[in-house]
Amino acid sequence: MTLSQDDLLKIFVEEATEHLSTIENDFLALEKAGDVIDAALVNKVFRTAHSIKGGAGFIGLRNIKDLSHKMETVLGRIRGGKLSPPEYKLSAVINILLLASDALKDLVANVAGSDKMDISMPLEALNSIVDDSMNHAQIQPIRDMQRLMPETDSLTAADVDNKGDGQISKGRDTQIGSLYPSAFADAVKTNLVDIFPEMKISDNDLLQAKIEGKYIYILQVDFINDVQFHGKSAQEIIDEIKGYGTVLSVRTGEKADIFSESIDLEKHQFLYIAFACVLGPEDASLLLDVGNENLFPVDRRDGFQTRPVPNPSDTEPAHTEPAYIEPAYTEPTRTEPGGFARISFGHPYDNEFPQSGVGKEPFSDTSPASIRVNIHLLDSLMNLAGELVLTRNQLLTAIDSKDHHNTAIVGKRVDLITSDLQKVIMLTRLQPVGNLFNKFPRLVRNLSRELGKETVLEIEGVGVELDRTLLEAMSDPLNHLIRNAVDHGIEKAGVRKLNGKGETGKIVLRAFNEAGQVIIEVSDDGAGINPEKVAADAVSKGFVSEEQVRIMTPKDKLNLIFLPGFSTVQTISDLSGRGVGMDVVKTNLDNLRGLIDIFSTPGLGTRIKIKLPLTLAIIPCQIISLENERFAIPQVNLEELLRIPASRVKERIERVGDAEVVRLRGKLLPLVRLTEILGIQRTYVDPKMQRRKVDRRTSLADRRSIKSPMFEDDVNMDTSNIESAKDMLFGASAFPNFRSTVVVSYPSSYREATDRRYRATSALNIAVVSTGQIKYGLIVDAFCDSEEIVVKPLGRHLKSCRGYAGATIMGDGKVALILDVNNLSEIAGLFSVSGTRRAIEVARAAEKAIKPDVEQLKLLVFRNAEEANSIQEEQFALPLNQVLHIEKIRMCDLQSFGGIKVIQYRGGNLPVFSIDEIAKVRPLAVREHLLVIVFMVAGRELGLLAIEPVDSVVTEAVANGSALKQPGIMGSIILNGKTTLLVDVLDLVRNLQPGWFSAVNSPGKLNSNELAIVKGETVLVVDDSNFFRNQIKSFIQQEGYQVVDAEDGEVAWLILQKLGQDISLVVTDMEMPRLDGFELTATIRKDERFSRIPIIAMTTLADDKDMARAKLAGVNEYQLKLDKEKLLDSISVLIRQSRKPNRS
Amino acid sequence: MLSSLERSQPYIDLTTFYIGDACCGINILRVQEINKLTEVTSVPLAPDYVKGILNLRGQIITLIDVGKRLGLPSSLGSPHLSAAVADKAKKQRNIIVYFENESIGLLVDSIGDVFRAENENIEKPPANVIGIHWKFFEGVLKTEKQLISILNLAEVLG
Repeated sequence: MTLSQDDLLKIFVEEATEHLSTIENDFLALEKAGDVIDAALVNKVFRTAHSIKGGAGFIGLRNIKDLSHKMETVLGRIRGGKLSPPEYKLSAVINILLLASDALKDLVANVAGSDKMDISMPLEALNSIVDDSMNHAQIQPIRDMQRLMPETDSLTAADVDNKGDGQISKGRDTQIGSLYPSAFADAVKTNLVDIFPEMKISDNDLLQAKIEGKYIYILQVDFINDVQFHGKSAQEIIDEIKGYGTVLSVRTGEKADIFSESIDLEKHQFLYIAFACVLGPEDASLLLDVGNENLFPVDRRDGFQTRPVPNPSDTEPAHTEPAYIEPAYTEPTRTEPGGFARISFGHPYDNEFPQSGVGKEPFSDTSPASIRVNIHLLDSLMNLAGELVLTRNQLLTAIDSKDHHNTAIVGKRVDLITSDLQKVIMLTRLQPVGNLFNKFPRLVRNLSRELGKETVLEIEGVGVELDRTLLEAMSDPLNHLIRNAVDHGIEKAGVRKLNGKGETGKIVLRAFNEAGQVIIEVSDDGAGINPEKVAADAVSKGFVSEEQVRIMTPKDKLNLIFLPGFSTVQTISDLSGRGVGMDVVKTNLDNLRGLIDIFSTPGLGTRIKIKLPLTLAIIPCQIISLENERFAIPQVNLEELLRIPASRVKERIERVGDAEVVRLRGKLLPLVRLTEILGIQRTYVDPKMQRRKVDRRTSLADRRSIKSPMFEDDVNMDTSNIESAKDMLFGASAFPNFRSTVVVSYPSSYREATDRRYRATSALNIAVVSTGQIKYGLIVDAFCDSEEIVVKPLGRHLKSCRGYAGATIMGDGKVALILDVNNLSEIAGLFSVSGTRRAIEVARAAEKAIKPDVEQLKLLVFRNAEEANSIQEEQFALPLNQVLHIEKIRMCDLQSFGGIKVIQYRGGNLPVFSIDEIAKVRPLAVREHLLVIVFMVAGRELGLLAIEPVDSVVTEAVANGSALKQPGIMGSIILNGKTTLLVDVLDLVRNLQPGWFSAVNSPGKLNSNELAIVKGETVLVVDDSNFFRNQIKSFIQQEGYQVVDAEDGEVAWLILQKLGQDISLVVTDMEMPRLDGFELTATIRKDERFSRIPIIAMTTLADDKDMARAKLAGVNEYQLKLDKEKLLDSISVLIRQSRKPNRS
Repeated sequence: MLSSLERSQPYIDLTTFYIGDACCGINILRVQEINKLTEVTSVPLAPDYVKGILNLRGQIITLIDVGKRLGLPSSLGSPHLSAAVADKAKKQRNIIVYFENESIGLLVDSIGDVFRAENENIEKPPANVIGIHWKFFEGVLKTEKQLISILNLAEVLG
């Protein structure tokens, strides 16, 4: 043997594992095909079993060989069509085969101990099939199987008494009803005497064989099956046998198959070869590549008598003991006759082999040590490696010759090759998710059987590739999710029918790539999760208080299921929901740097979305610095970087209880100082003494009274040398790459002389991070570069520090820690759901801070003319979401044709105008440079001229729609104490280019007949902002509709109930006090009377999530405020649609 | 493999080093290399005996302050480097040992000689070696000049 036994074993295990990974789905496919047996598929499975058997036999793994052999036998029957008596259920056979393949997997996984494992269970089960196909009367075991299978993955040594009598023994009887292979073989052998009386072997040969210690066999070769299948001719078989022993006699015969005399009607042509050789029966059958059932050992002492089971007193040499009579068969685990032995199939070996890991999932540690790699990848790796060597040589030469130019060039090449190399190596680690998904059809099948549900699993995106380690690590979480979906999600058929769904539930398992990440989605069309129930459960279990629940959004409530120990299922089932499900999933995903999101509509289903990085090895990170150390924050967790200038700190940072929060776009974001969580002493550089001092300030927004000594200190600092203050940018001096990323900036005019904080160091750098469940701000000293870093694990002593996900080595060789944003939030006391005390405070403060009826407006502020006195300046604003972009042009580029001003723009002419052409405002200033604000109106681009500077402002000020209204101006608003005119772009264009609208609208316009139907319909406009409500109302009225308006959802609901069917359409704002748009929509949809009313959501919430939420609630259209044209179009289209079915 | 080797030989070679005034030794076969102290990144929230982590040719190594681990007061207490302390710091070494599939750095005050100890001369540790709990030691070796305490790595690094 050239290869060591270990190597052989390794190869075998790898191959067998690979084979086994496919076998399961093949079985399932077989079952699906039902009575129509797919010969190719059966052959495939057959070959799989066969090659495992071959390998195991070669290495001497008895149990594996025996089991796979039995499987092969059964499969052979299926292939030959000999296994289809009418009362026989294919699914039962498949069940047993699946069971056997499980056992086989176990054996392969524990290859070293495999021979000591008890495989009597699957063997018996398999035997029962074989026996059944021979003896119809004995289908009892199968029935037992069927009965027991659906409940658990366990088997029973059922009805032992049934078999007990006909069992084994000393090879005497001809009864072929026994469940035991030894007996079975005996029976066959005995039969042989009757079958081949004419097979003549000379006594001389027999004697010779006996002297030489050889076995004598008769090999039965089926001309049709075996010869064709193995592709060997009879002569080749004989030649092959001659290589191992002596052929004694050859004859052909025509005979019904001995195994299934009663069933098989077709006559087979057989070739019988009698031969003698030294090999034991098992080895011989392996060597000749034939099944045991085709090789009949003949006792050499007296011709054709069946060789009895050897006993110790036998005179035969010890080694001749037939290998297939094993203790495992003759003494299987069994109970008293009539009793049930229920042995959990998953762990029968645990007790015997504690070293294999008690309580562990049998497959949990089967990660192969080697993988197969596409040869092309290897080639390109070789290529790159060669390239690298060449380049290194060049680099060395260049360095030796001090050729800086060349060194730089070669350096670039090294860079290129390295990144290529990295990419290719990454590819070798990627594997299709199909490898993982493939095991789920079986899971779903078994579970649905057990639970008596009908479920289909649809799998999409099996080709999506993922890092191997990730793939393996995803196995458990996905298992949980799928189990959950079947167990908790999908309802029983009857319930589904009642709810108007199809009886068969559907689970979709989907993988796809999105933005450099892999998304895995598990969705079902089951009962969905009721957030209220989850919340109620969480309260009853004491996870959160009722008060906390009250302020939670439905989404927050759903997220409660990620709390450890949470389970909504009333009766804890065996399968899932031991109360450890979802939090385990979440923890697993956290470890993988994955994010999990859950969407559920009660009654309609649940969708769980998992975002995973492609690989764990290299992750893009934002490097931050803190007290002279650098840390990395994975980009996956990073939402944005925020810098609050010193002058604004006081204004934007607030304290709620003991928590600090920052107001970010109207929402309050909890803040955490990284120094605080990590317990690092905060320091600052004293400008006077040029030394680092411990910073004792505890609050970010210094709210101390003016008498505070701290405050005086601040004053002193202000008067100190500004130069030294510059040096205090400690981030800057320590890291040359320092750059601060400013997300929100404010014009300098905001800076007030009275604010004491203006030094750059007092500015706050906040990394806004998200864990999927919670968003919070991490205050750091400075932002450095964004880098792709290689993750290195931390040693065991640091495993207990939960704040880090690992470490990485920076370009300068120093080590930086990678922050685990999730765990940090826990350390900081921010929990993963919003129901914490702190979150409540934050939310309450938010409620107080943001007046309920204030609408947020995002405006672009610009001017048309300059005035010496800035107070008199006319300031204009228009909704930011209408602006496409802003161009800077020179005055001289402006051309005028036929009274229309145009500029050349992106290869075409862009018509431009100024506000003063329509509205009575000061004329456009004459300047060298002008700005063009580009819009899209009625499908065309159009520019509005303005002068610098422009600014974007988010305001909560209320717009006044009447006072300063004029053509082109929809009203006014006060921004920063200045009256600002709100520009109505549509109106401007209508005045300027009336032709545009008719031209665009004509194809989509209704014909007069339809118009008459549509007009006169009543539209309900719901908006809490008077300004918007009046705007919408007025232009809907202009179109000829009746309009009823309501200032919030509750009023709207009252109106709806009163006016009922008269309302044809609802236009609603989403963010409203009391009853918001989402709930209003849900309420309307729930009521049968109104369920058909079209609903258009008008909102400033441009978030995808909100959009999805609104869609879920049941709105027909989701529009951003305020696109008049689009809204009117939608109104007419939706009204038409809703009317049509009624008419026909 | 190591332990069988340890057992099979009548002697062990000890790498000796000093922690404060105490001379300690570990089996030389455990030692991967001995380095001067390179830049250490401190790890907030880590146990106090973890000095930090460092980059050893691309591998992240946890540096254990052996003195702290044994419960001795740090000899280099103050960060304000006086000349004497600076001198001491210069002598500090980082012994990289391979322990249970992980390379770990041991920060010691200075390094001593390699000493061959006959197995028979190694005695059971007394209950208290220079104020350190006996569990940290495998044994002690008396030499002409001094007492070498042989560290029980499993206990120190466990």
